[in-house]
Amino acid sequence: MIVQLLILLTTIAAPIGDAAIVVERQGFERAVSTVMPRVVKLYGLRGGAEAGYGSGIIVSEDGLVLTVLSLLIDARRIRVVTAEGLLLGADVIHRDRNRQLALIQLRPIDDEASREDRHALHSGSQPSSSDRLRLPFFNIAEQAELRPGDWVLAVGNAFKVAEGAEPVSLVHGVFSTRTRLDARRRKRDFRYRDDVLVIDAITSNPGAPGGALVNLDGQFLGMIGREVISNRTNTHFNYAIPRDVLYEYLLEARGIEDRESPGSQPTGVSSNDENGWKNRLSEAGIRMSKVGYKVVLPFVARVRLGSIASRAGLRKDDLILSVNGRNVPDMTAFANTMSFLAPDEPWDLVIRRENRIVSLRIEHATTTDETTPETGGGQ
Amino acid sequence: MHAHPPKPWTYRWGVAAVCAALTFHPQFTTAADQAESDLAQVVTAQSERIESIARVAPSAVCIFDDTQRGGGSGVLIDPTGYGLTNYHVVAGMLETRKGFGGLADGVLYDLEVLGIDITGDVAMFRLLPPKPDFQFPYVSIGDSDTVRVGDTAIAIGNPFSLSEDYTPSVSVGMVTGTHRYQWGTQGNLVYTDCIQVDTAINPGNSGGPLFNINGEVIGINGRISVNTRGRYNVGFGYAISSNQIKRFMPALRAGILARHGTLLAVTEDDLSAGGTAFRSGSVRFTEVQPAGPADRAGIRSDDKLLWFDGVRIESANQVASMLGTYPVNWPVTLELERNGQRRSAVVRLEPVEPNMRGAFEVDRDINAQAVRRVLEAFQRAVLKNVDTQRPTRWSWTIDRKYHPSEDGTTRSDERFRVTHRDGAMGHMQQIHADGTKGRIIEYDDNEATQRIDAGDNPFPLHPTEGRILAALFTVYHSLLEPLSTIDLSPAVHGGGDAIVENPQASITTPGHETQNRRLNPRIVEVIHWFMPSGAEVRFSFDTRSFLLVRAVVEDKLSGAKATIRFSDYRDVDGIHWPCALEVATPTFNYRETLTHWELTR
Repeated sequence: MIVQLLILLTTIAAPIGDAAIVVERQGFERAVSTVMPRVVKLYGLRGGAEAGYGSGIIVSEDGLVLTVLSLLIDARRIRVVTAEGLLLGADVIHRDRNRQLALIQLRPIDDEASREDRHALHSGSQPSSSDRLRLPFFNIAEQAELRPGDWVLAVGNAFKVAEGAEPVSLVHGVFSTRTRLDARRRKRDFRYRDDVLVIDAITSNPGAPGGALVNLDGQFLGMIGREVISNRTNTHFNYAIPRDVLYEYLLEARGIEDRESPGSQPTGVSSNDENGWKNRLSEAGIRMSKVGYKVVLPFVARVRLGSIASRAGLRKDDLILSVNGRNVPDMTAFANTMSFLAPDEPWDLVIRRENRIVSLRIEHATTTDETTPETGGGQ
Repeated sequence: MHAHPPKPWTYRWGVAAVCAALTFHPQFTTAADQAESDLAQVVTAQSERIESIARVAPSAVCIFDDTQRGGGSGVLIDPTGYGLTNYHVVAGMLETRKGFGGLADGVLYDLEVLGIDITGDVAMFRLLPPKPDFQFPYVSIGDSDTVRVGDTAIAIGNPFSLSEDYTPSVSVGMVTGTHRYQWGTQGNLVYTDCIQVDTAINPGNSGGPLFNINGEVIGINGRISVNTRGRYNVGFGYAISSNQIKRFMPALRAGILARHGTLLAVTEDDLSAGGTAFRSGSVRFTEVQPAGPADRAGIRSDDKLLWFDGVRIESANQVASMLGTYPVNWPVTLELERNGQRRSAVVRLEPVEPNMRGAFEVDRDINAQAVRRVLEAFQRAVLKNVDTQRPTRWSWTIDRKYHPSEDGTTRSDERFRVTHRDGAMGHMQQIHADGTKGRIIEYDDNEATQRIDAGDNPFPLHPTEGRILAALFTVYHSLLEPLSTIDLSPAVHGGGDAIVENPQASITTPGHETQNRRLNPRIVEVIHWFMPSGAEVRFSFDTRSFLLVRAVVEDKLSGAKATIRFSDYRDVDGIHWPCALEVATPTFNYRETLTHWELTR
């Protein structure tokens, strides 16, 4: 890699003369020619600030495509255009709200009406060979070395610049670091809390998410994530979801897919998960105040005696100021923050109690704890 | 300061080869040696890049209007101060045609707006030299068709009007897309076939140059994609390709409104009709305007468009993108398919009228300056030095060979002895094959007469023949005289035109595939010359060599037209002269070759 880096630096800077251009091109040519056929243009539902177009990466020969979870894939008809200009349809196979990822399956669109019939046919017998897609794909099981300072290309159909068989856009930059993402989309917290690859190329653009991040050999490094604002810096954040996170997701999603019958409802986080935090709150023994005019402040209305919260030192009338480092000025913010926490994540609370600021941690009962009957009694 | 041509490639190949050898065969050196030598290469290359940028940066112009509020950028493309920018940079200066251009030397020069291309967002300007013979720094224009994704792209300009002393800012990135299409507003400012870069382009960069690693201008930066967070670079900049601009250059230099061409037909992707791919054969004409160029070429709704000017068509977007790069009257080849039958056609594009509030007034002085520029270049190409090289007496023998005209009539071949003297009419004496003398023709730029014998009363020549001779008389007696002595009031620069070198090659035959045939017409600058007789001659000069390649003579009253082609340029007796003329009219066609010369100076 260091050798490549040097080639690039040398040749990018080598001035003048056609020879310079020829040498210079070797730096990116391989990466560009490898990545382009493996990135697809997605078109789907548009609404609000959602663009209605995006990118995806092909991860199997028969047309499994990984992309980011967005309104786009909620379209009744998702349209996909490959680098060759092939127009395809797609079915959503799996959605993951926590990782903000989705897996879709490409298919020919020629007879959309009889799609269900064909699905039935597929599950019953082998699909005809003429029906099978044969697409170039990224083998995301394959690991590629990546060190801070390595050149990277971020490839996707940002701003919908490319149409039809036209190659999608790219931006180039260097890989900076791998870190945890702590970000929000507009006012809502962004669920994804896993590792990300931070890059200095601008990828926070409409249409780019779902695109590929590759090195100069065209090796797959990650997928461009959704447009988010970093909670740390309050700036639009340019990052990619690392290959290993995607691979893990792919295995999971495919496993689920295998157990489901084709054509069933997309699996994912169930809808009551939205209220999961409320359950966990009550499990911890906390009831929040609902009193307020216009603004409801996150006051603790009651703490159940002997509960986890009570043992952690939380008391009635405490005003919660922040949860896990995020300020919660009102109940809406509190609810938002809580809903994005993982089920087993401890809560680090900063509270105001009369004129004091108190911080305390509430650890959740583990599964084994839950099966152990509580003996009650505060400490 | 003067821009130097790129250094010879051999030198650089040396550097590149050494670099490649070192990087690809590391086993011959130790790791430490390797790192050191790689570092040395990097440092060398970097300093060469710095030198390269220093070489081209002085040609970048910081452009301001009268108010000097905000501004854009531009680039000088010749030592006399001609430069390119965006139309939207000079749009506010059109009333006065005046602005200011600051160079890296810290001097703010007066700027004059020349021609504009509203549809393509390009404009030409001229910085006024502070003294005669002043040489501006300038750069050469490269070939944007050779640009590839991954190539280094350097933008120079004045983003955010940062520069207080007109020293331009430089940003370096790479080409991230080619042949892009970006919609315009109300038909204006359409970016067709443009170059996409991730080089930082910001407000104020508009009109500035995009360079390749050789320091050649490959485009004019003018547009960026922005998202909701503000108008600044997010890695998506677009430059109008240099090859498109080259086609409009004659009109831009002439100070007139450059017009784009259109087919007056709509193409659409075949996808709504159940198509499943953007590929060759998936683009159809869905609307053909009656009497438009597509209609006249026999194109009907539902015809498939397979190739366009030598490029395989795979999407309607691509057609729109390509079409936007051609000026009006440009000839393009089309390869079509109807009911499985293939057919090709050559179409001349019709004008696109830009959407504008008022008329664009052509400035007479700017246009006269453009005429002068062309004629100066023509004189230099023919005579080298007009004062010492120009003959005062021209005498030669021509063989005139007639070809059958459209109506099938032909005439017998003739030989003439032709004499031109300063202050006298042109004189042609026919010489028969046996050496005896035939008819005598005398002509100037107004009238032409002939006599059978020296003592006869002259009678008028055929009017078309007379007009052809009047045009030729103008060439010897006006176009080649010292410019200070010529009355240029009958001349107007009409912009550019595209001449197909070999018109026979473009004749269409059903079933014959044009495939990747591109006409690559010759781009000419056209000077309209209004003759005393009321006829108009359109002289076409090649934009590279500035040689006269064609003259079209038209009588405005009768509509009679004749075309004279000048070819076979040779160095004869100290001048570079066309030794063959081809004349085509509806009633007679002939080719004249010059055989014997006598020039007196």
